[in-house]
Amino acid sequence: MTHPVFAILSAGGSSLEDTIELLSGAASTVAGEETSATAVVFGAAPRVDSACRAACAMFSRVRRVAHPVLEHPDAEMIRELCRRLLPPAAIVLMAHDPFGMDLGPGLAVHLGAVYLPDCLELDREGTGRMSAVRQVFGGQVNARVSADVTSGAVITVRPGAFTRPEPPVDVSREVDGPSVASGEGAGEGGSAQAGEKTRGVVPTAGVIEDWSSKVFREGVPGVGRRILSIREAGKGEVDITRSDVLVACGRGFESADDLELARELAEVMGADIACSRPLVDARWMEKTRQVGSSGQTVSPRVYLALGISGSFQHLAGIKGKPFLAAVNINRRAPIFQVADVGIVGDVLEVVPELTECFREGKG
Amino acid sequence: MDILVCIKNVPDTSAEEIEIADDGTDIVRDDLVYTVNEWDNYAVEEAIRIRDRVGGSVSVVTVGSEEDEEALRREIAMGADAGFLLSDPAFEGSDGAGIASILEAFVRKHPVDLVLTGAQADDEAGQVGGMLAARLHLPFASLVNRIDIREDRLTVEREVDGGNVEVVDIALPCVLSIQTGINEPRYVGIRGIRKAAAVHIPVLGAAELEIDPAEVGRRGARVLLESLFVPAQGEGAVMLEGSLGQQVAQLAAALKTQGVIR
Ligand SMILES: Cc1cc2nc3c(=O)[nH]c(=O)nc-3n(C[C@H](O)[C@H](O)[C@H](O)COP(=O)(O)OP(=O)(O)OC[C@H]3O[C@@H](n4cnc5c(N)ncnc54)[C@H](O)[C@@H]3O)c2cc1C
Repeated sequence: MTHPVFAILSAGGSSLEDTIELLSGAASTVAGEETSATAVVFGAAPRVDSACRAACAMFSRVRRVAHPVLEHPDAEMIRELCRRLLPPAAIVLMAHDPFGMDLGPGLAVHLGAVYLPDCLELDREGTGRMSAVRQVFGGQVNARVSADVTSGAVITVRPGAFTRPEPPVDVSREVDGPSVASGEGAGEGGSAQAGEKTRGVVPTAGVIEDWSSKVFREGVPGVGRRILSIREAGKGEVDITRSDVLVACGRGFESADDLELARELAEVMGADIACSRPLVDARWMEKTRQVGSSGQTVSPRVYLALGISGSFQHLAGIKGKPFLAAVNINRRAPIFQVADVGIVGDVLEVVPELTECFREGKG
Repeated sequence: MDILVCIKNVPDTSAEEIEIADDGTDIVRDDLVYTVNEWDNYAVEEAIRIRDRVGGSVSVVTVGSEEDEEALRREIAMGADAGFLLSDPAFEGSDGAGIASILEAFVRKHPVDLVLTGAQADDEAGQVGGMLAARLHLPFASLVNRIDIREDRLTVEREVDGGNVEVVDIALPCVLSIQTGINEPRYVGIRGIRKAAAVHIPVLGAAELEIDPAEVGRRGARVLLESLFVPAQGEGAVMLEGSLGQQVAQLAAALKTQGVIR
């Protein structure tokens, strides 16, 4: 039995292009040669249409599910729609991001599928089995897991772990109809039937099928939750996204007072101070100094990581391949897998020495 | 409001060099210090604060073995009213779905208004909360970093990418997974822990929970751990050697070469 492969995308999601690339890479790994993957894009017009077009660049089939209630990507609603739309035993891919983490586990339960979270590698293992590599214990150790996927699988994929595959083969392109932008589809006696290609945009490679009316034929699913609004993160006094040199502190600093050592170092280095999430959670640093997926994305020339383990959520915020130096007491800390240069040592000893070194060099 | 918090006792590994056990499917745990999973601790603190504001009770529950009782006691010392240990040889080797179904059985016997879990634990899967909600047919929100109570509903905030916040209206009863930073968990002193040592913690197994042993544990697991391995170093960092002074001098030189001038 071959399993149909689906990639779930939310038009309102952040870094949509990256997610499309990620999921098409993962899809080509799990789909094998005999099947190709279908992207399903949820959203409200007009954003859903640009998202569909973007998905077409990397998926040969794209299902568009549009409705005003999808203005915000509410995973509770989208989970119910997925249940209406996905065939049995499907392999369902999504990014391991706040949307996928919200959607995935419950979807697996409802589909009777296994759940494979935050996968770095995926392999098909003959019929009905699949294996995956995931990080455990703060990224110090990887785990290879295998799963029985005969009833399908819901898989969240680590952002950045898969890259763009070869572009999909040019299947029966459909280029009538200039755009689908006007249709909300829902409720209003939509013309789309199951599997029928209705109005298509000019695709790069893929074909867009509008599934809105089919999926919403039974009405808008009743769910116990609703997104009221989205609030953007605030700005702080220092904009670390513009910093050239960052001295970033992590939980290796055991007290707020010790951070003074890092501040002195930053001063002599002409650097700004950044940090990992736990220091913000502890209220030792402002949120605007947090680097990572739920903080700032920085692109300095030099990044000095002090007492930071190197979790993927932290590393996700470091872009542009800076020169990365790390000081950590644990030689197995994952930060050393990505650093250019490292010292195994205690920040309380290394940091004052380093400050002294820069001071002397200055005089 | 009656609140249940699902917690996990985890080894504190961040500053330890983890070793992989001989059979390749576990880490060497002998010398590791166990603590309550960081995310869970925030969840328990939040539950206690809600109870103190609006009344009700806070229970903590874990699926585990005798050694994990200590984690329940720690959270009772923090202020939880009761702890339950779900333990049975049949539960051993459960995958995430198995843990969620054991917890589901417990919640069906001890209904509450609100179930909290941590956003993730040491296996970094973040799966139990969402699965539990789906099994109970309750609404779910993950990565919650604020909870406001409005009669029979909650307004909660989810922390999404870039620190942006999704403000969500959610009906009770529901399941929420809690993100760190939602509050500042209180310090638990040795005296509190000593007092909690006397609290009776019921142990419930498959029979009490009316769970079919074939559905959980190793037998019921559809996701199996094959092996653990230390990730390949890749290029890896150039690790500096010599005395502390020498290492620091080399680091300073490297930073200067990269253009850190001062
Ligand atoms: C949805 C989600 C979003 C997240 N977003 C972010 C984010 O945006 N940014 C972020 O940073 N994290 C984020 N996290 C948290 C992330 O998973 C990690 O928990 C966090 O990055 C760990 O921070 P850390 O490295 O400072 O602490 P730890 O992982 O605890 O590491 C501390 C390190 O310090 C070392 N150390 C200890 N003592 C010393 C010493 N004396 N000298 C030198 N080294 C020492 C230890 O060996 C260890 O490697 C997120 C998590 C989730 C679930």
